[in-house]
Amino acid sequence: MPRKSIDHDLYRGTLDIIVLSLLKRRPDHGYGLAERLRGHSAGRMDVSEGAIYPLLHRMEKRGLISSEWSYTVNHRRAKQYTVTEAGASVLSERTAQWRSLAQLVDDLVDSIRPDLGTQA
Amino acid sequence: MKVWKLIRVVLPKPMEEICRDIDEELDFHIEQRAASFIEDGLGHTEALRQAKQRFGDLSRVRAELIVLATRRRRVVMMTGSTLLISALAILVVLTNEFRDRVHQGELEVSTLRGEVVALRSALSGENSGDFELAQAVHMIVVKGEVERERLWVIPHRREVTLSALIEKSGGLTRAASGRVFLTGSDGSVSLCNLDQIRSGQEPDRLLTRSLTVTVEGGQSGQDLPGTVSLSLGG
Repeated sequence: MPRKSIDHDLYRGTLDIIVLSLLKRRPDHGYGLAERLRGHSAGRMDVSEGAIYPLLHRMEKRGLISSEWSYTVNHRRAKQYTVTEAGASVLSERTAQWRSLAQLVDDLVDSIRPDLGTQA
Repeated sequence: MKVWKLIRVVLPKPMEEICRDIDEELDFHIEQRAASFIEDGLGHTEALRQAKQRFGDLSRVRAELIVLATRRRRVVMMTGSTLLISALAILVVLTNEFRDRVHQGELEVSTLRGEVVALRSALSGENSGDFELAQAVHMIVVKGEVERERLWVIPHRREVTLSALIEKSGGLTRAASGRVFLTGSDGSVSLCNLDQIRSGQEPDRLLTRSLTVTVEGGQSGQDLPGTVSLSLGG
């Protein structure tokens, strides 16, 4: 049974954490990131591939990542992105915040569910 | 190479280069995606169509990236201009301050061969202990009965003799006695006779450290004995 894709509104704002996390593991160009994002999410994140570029450029502007032109194995020039020290620090901070938020939402939903059942 | 990189960071990119980089980055993505579709068996045209479709609104993304880059370019240009103006303002302030200090000492400042040096403070006269010297230079004040009293700023590597420095200061006045006192920054004083140096009876002095050269006036140095060195410092 195919897994449902996640509502876009839910993961809006978390894409930068995911991109930072992917880049921290390995520097990559935009296309490579889009591929890995698709692979890791198994198609559950419905993001148009082009949306990744404004995000990358904004993150670079904020100093979270840096870019450098390099050559691929096919001798094609590609812009490669790397996480900066500031980016790594933001990543660990935002990851902790996200986990805490996810846990809070989880706890709240679990604690409210019996009440909903009673009302029904 | 590092300097060039630094310059590249400081200088804003031309708009053409910004647009070319953006196009190249986005084209790379479309081409790679199309290539993956072709590997899956699609024809070239269809692969390209699907690659663009998956990418989303290409022209909107391109426009967004250009706006982002332009904003950054503007920030870089404004920051660069601000830094330049600040540097010029600091230079003007420092120059004025330096000039004031020199005027207080009533001395002109000259460098041999026009070497530019950093001075931490200018001189104020007799006591060479007042000088704070830049590391790479020594400073020699030539004062008393010379045509142009001056502070000479001399790089350590440069060798200069007493008679040459007095010549560069315009030579002796008519009132000069020929007796010259060399006062070191440690307080030691030595006396030499310029007339005897000129006549070859006494070797010229090589000035290799900061000191004050005072040319005495009021009497003829002809009757003086040869060089006398005495130390006033501890």
